[in-house]
Amino acid sequence: MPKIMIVDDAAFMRMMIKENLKKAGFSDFVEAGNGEEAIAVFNEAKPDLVLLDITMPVKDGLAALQEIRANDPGAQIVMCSAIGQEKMVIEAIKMGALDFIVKPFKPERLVQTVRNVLG
Amino acid sequence: MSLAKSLSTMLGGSLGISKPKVRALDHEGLVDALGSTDGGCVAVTVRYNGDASGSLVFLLGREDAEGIAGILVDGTCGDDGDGNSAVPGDISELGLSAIKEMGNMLGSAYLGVVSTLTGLAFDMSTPCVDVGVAGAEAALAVPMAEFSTDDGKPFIIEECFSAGKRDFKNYMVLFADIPFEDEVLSKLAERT
Repeated sequence: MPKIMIVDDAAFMRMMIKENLKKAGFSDFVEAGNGEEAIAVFNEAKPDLVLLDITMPVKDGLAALQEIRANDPGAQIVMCSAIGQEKMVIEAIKMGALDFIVKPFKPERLVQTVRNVLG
Repeated sequence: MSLAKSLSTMLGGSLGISKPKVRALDHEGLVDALGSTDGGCVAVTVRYNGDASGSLVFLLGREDAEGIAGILVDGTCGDDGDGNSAVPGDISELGLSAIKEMGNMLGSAYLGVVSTLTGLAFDMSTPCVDVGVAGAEAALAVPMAEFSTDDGKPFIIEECFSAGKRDFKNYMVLFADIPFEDEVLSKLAERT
C-alpha cells in the first residue's frame, strides 16, 4: 500500500483529503502542518507521494518542494493550490512537482490525480 | 467562485444558490449592510501586498458559521431538523479550520479575478480567523481604520444560499488602499 503524505496548515483540509482517499482504498498516511514539518516528516517516513499545499506559515510549499527535491530528486509531489495561484503552480512544476489540484476540488479529481501519479 | 459553489464542489451536494450581490459602500453603508451579524460573528482575514495592498475579510454571523462548520465537518447543517438553529455552542477547532480554509479559498479566488482583470500581481498572507461576540463592525474595525477614508469605498460581496432547511448568508469585504482602487478602475476602463 503506498504511503501518502498530506501537507496543509488547515487541519480540516488534511481531514478532507484523508477521508476521500480512504474511501478510494488508500490507508497509509502521514501528515504535516507546514513546510518545515513536511521536510522532517518526509525524511523520516519516505512517502511514495506528497500532496503539498502552497500557502502555509513557517515555510511555504514552494520552499518545502525545493528542499525535498534537493534531498530526494525522485520525490513524487503534487501541489494543492487555490484558484488565483497559477503563477506559483507553474513555478512548482518547473521545480519538479508532477501535477497539481486546485482547491476546492471534487473528490474524484483528487483520487484520479493520486492514482495517475502512483501509476 | 462563491462559498456555496465551493461547498457544492467539495461535498458533491446540491445547494440552493442565489447570485451574489456586489456593492461598493462607504463606511456607514457597510455597517448597515452587515448589521445582521449583531449576535456575534466569525471573521477570516487575509492580507495582500504587491502591486497594491489591503485586506480581504470573509465574514459570517455566528449561527451561520456554526451551521457551515457543521456542513463541512460532519455533514449536518447545525439545525434541529426543521430549519431552526440548534442551541448555539462552541465551534470546534476543526470547524474553525474549515471556515478559515473557505475564507482562504474565496479570498484567493477573488484576488485572482482582480489580478486577471487588471494585470496587477498580489502576494497573499496566510489567513487568520477571529471569533467575536460583537458584531461585524467590531470585526472590521482594524481594516476600516487602516484602509477606509472619506473617498475610499470597500467592495462588499454578499451571498445567500440554502442547505437542508436553512438559509445562510456570508460576506466578503475587500479593503484596498486608494491607489489600488484608482488602479483597478482605470485598468478596467482600459479593457472595456
